[in-house]
Amino acid sequence: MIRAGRKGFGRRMDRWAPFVFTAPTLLFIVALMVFPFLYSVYLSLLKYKLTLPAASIHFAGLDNYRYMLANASFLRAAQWTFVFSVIAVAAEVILGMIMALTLNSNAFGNRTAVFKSLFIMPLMLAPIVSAKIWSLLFQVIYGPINYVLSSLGFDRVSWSGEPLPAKLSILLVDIWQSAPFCMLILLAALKTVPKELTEAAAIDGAGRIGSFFKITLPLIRHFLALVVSIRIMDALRVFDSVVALTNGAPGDTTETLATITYKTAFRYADIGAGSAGSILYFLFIVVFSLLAFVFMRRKDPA
Amino acid sequence: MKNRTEKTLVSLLLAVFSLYFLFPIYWTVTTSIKPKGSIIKLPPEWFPQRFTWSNYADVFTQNQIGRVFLNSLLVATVTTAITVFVTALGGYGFSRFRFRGRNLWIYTTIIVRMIPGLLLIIPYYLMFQKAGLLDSLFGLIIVYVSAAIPLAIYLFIGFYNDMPAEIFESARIDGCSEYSAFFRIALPLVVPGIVVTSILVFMGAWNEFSLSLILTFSDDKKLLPLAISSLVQTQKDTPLGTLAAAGTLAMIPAIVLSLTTQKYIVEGFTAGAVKG
Repeated sequence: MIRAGRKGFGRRMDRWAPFVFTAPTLLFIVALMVFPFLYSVYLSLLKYKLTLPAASIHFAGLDNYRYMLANASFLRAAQWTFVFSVIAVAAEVILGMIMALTLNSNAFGNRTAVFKSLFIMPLMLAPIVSAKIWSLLFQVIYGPINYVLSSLGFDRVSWSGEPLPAKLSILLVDIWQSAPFCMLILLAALKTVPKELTEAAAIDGAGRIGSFFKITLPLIRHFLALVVSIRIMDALRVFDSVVALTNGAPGDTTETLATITYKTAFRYADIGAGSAGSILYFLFIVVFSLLAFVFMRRKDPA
Repeated sequence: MKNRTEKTLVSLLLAVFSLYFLFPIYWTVTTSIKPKGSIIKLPPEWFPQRFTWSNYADVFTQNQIGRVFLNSLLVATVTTAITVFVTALGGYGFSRFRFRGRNLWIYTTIIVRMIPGLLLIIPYYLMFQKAGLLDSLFGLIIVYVSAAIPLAIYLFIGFYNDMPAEIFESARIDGCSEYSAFFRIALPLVVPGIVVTSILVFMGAWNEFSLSLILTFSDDKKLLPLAISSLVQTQKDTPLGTLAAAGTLAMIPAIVLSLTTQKYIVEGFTAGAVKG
């Protein structure tokens, strides 16, 4: 009698199993991702300044969106975020590929393996720490980079004072931090390519470079797509290194969508406009990611 | 002959890569042990001539770095423990059961991954203000857990999908409840996956900057990345030596991790892509 009861209870508990297992995850996702997102959509429709009394908060329709889309700094930030992401991801994937091929070469047997561990050190650093480290190198007067440039006869560069060097410095740091990630994944990818295949192609007269593009690249295309999509999502979020290196300067030339949204909401205390900016930022990421996805699919022969 | 060109090319490339990827680290470590006079000097001292601990002494005395280090360790460890516990259960639920709304929830977790952190910071700030969670490490932890869950759940679903369903079926026939099937069979098998996920989640929390920048403000609640970033702003005369010492300290865990965990990182990111 008691056993039958327990069995019935156990069976009833089993029916709830899918819910019991997934509930904690879903609770976090709903309470701290879905709800805040919807709350943010609501905030973007309000005139809401942190510095003004709560009574001044009122519904403003799409005013905040109109304001952000008419804001030259915001549009420039969108443009730079786009350009930055394309250049950074392309450079990181190509450099990562060259590094992976170099480490995968058999020229020195296994003796180059130690370089793999050395090269991935930047990947493990906090982005803010990487940027701070590089700021030592970018010092205008005592920095080693400017010293080398001036000994070669060039002018000293003000790395955070002029638009082009400032942009270049952010790119250099991002590539430094993330090319090793591409290298690590692509090296794993190269290990999945059977040696016989590439060697056979090379013997057939395809040459090393030909066999790379005809055999290796198609075989590792899934890894390549993975690396590109992970890197694009991260590059579009660039924030830490900008704050640490230039903080948007000179003027607003190195502001990204992340930094400009942050400043609108917290430095200018405009919650409504900041929220509208961040929703536009989210749409920008979705569109960009979908485009990248479609582009990679189209090139995928399978 | 061909082998020799390859050797030359490989050596040349390794030298260039080493210069780019290792020189900044070398420069930071050597700057951190130089006395002030050797830091501000032209031409730069490529190899340190004199040696001092004073930059490290400054980091510890002026900036409460010990406290900050413990904060970071606590937050990253608790975040990892909660995330792994929650998603090891959740991944099993999504992988093993077909229930109503399953696909909807899986798509939701994929879409929320695209939400930039900056978007969520604004509502977090207002929610935490009302809930009294601003400037608290507990508040940061729950936010970090939420930020880590989409990746972690994706990884765990993959790990459980790799296990043959028959072993769970036979456990059920043997009279195990769904819960004991999970604890006795699935959990021991997913331990390698727990290691991979823990490393990725821990690194994410350890390196995070923007959320802590906005959600905490007092000195004794600071985490390491934020403390290092504010080192320069608080002292107008940029203390290059102190900055280098703090940077070196922050690099130590990274160097240890890069020597020990690279295998797991590759596994984590390529889970799913390999079978493609």
